[in-house]
Amino acid sequence: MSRSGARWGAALVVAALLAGAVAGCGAKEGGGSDAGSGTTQKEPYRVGVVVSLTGTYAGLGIPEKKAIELQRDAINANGGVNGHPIEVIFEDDATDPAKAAAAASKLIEQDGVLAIIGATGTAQTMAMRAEVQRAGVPQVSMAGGSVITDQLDPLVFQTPWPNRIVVPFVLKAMARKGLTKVAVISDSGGYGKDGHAIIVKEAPAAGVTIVADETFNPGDTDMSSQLTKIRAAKPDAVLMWNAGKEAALIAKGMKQLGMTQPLFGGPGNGRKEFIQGAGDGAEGFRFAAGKILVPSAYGTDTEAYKVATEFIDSYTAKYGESPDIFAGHAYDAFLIVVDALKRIEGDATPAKLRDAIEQTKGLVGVGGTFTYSPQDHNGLTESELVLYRVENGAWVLDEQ
Amino acid sequence: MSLLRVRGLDKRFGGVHAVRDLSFDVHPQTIKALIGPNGAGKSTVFNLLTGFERPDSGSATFADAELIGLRPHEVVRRGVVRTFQESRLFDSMTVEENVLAGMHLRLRASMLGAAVRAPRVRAEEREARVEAAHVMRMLGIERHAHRKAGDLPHGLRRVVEVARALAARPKLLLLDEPAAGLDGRETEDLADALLRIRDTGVTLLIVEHDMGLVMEVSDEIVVIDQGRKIAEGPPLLIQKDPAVLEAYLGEVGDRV
Amino acid sequence: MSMSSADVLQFVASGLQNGAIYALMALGFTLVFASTGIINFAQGEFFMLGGMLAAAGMAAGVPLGVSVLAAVAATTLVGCLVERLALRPARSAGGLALVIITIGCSMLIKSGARHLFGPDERALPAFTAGEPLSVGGALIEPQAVWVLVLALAAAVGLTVLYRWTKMGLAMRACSISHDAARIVGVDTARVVMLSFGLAGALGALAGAVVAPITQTAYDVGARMGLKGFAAALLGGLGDPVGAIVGGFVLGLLESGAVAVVSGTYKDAVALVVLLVVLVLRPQGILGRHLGEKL
Repeated sequence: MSRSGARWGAALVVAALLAGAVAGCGAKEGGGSDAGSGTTQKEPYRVGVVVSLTGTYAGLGIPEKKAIELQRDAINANGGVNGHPIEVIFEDDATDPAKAAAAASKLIEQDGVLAIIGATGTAQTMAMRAEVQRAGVPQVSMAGGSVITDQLDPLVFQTPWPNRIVVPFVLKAMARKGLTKVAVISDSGGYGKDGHAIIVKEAPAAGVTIVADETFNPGDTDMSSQLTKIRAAKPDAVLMWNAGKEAALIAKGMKQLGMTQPLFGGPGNGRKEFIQGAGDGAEGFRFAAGKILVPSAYGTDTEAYKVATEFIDSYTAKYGESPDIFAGHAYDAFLIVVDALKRIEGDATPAKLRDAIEQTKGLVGVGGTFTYSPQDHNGLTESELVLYRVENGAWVLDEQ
Repeated sequence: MSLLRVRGLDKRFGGVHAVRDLSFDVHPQTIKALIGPNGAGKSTVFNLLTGFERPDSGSATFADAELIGLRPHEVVRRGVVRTFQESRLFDSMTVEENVLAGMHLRLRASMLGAAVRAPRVRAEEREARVEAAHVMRMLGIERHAHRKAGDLPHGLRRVVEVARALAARPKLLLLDEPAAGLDGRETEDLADALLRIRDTGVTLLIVEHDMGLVMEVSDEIVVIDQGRKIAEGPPLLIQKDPAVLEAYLGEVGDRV
Repeated sequence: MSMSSADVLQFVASGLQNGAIYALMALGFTLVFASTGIINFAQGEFFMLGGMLAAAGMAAGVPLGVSVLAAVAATTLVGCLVERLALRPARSAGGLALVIITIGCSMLIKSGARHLFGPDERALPAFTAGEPLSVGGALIEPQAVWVLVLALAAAVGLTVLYRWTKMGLAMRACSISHDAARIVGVDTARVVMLSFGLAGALGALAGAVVAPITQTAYDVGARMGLKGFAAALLGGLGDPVGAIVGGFVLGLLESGAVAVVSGTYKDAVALVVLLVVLVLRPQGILGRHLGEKL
């Protein structure tokens, strides 16, 4: 929204308009707590989850919720954690940082959760920080912005590969292919801005020159003006950095403008909806992400392969579709919290849980093997990443 | 036999009993005046008869059909057309266009007619302009035909409203204070026009404060006070009616 | 970076494509305003319903053309129902209350769509397949041609309706004065309902014809409502010709803002337009006066 206009008194009209239309998505998923079918007598462990079930990131938040529900049921069916069933309380932040903060506050004040998993997006994750700090409740984010763990907070952990790891990986892959004049298009939301800053910073080191640098707003429905500027700059390749549904419009728009340059992106674009939405435009799109999309990349004899295929099989059996990388991030976040809860002695408190999470070591999830330390609350490395290519509407490993 | 037969009309607004058990008749091709002191409920009677307000009880039979319960446009389609005390003109249109508007909704039958029967519509349009000119001449406003209605002085707007109402070819015309804002000369012209309108076969019911005009044109008068009928009869009798004199005393007594 | 004439044309093409959609939305706002004097904040949801219902029809195996027509028809009905069921019973409550009711309706329609269709974005196939056309070096996809042609057809159809039909005359009469319209025999209640129906049809048409280019989702209405409102205000509320002009001007301004400044400020254009028009020229760019409404 325009900063220049915000001061004007007449902005009330605009506010009324936005309030009117935006408030419609306030359909809360919250309160739907379910302790599962455990027969244990012990008090349930309460965990809050803040995800984007509506708005730009709905396509990410929904598989995240499904993955956590699946794992909760599996754990509770096996007697819970140390005899405690796990109760999960979901809140929808509607891809809105302010609602994410409100959801965190509600989970802490009303529900008294031990930890919060969330949010789906980077800006939403950052918006919750003041709330978790105030209450001393640990937070495990499923968003990939570097800022989440660069600005290290003792309480905040992160499961995806942050931009500081993914961006150089992609830039180096582009340089290897001889694509050194690169046009960048990123969204002005938290994840896009975070990635954009790192792209600008890391490009020289990777031997890449940025010849065009365009932005768009989350929710934009027409990219042709930005793409026209990019076309005029005659780049070797286009790198887009965003995690929402707008990616499909970029891929489609390039095709419509007759742009044949290869398109690259990050993990945020590893979504089936992207391929469906972009159609032909998705063909040849390359992006970096973890190995869950093609599990053989783990190496079929590894522990990670076993963990991932078990998750993929049970998710597919329950929901009739295979999990994407976002489901994987949620699986990992839940796994980290459960693993830490198991290691707690005596009564579980948010403080004890935070300490236990920070001591996570060699925990094999689907996004990688997690080892946290007081200095590193992400614990992943570039070795967890592979480069994918879309071919015939499906993901394949891109040979390097 | 009466054209309009009002029986037991009754209307309250909260604590105000605006119209009380009012009954009167209007006979074909006559002019009937509805008079009374300010706040007597005259305009309310118009609103009740033309569907702008619903009475609490009572009936109004027009040419053997009930008007009460109809919506304003349905009342118009039965041939009962009114004007307002505060004129409601299409201000952004010319006087002629206003008069044509009164006609148009009766002229063209179907929404798609314009596209399909363009020549016939054009012929209709020509006839309409001729008729509009005639109506404007009858009311002495033809020289203002191309002025914007919004630019006209108050008195003239009244007359334009009468013209527009007349253009709808009503059987019964309800005029709410048509002479308000007119000077002496204009009022005389209006009186002549009203008599000519009556002589073309239209029946009129008028609310009017100008007693000179009322006495000149009315065939019959009904007087109401505080919503109740206090007298009804020909002008000469009404002028001498003690109840009428009393009701008007101290208010507009000098006009009686 | 230097821009060729083809690039400039490409910006213009993009501006016209978006402008056509804004024009349809602005027409919806303006029709309702003309006949009622209120701003219908559910207009954006009509746009959303057009795209989502067409996509749902396709998903159910209904042919594309039929799906789009059915979506437009269904949304027309929704528009009529909004008026008949939500606004008419509260008619006596006055302008502000009615505007707030339209906000309520928009929330209801939006959450209804979310429950009915789910939160995911949906794609609609192009009306006709084919390679982009080259116009002076600018590439224009066939669907953009559909957008322009259908928007212009709707504008022409509406002009014919407004100028040369009895219903149009009745609508114009209502836009000047409801009482005056009533005493010349106009069924004002029917005109108001029809203007909501037409607003629904225009919004749905915009939503369905642009969905193949932009995709659609249950929550696309708010943003488009804002743009359409800005365009209607720019053209002078209540003025159909102004609405069309306002739509195209807004589309071109947005495209220009991206070309000259940055994509980040694209949405700000509509907001700036809203504020500037509200503060400086409430009668719109064409400078016509509003009817004596409100």
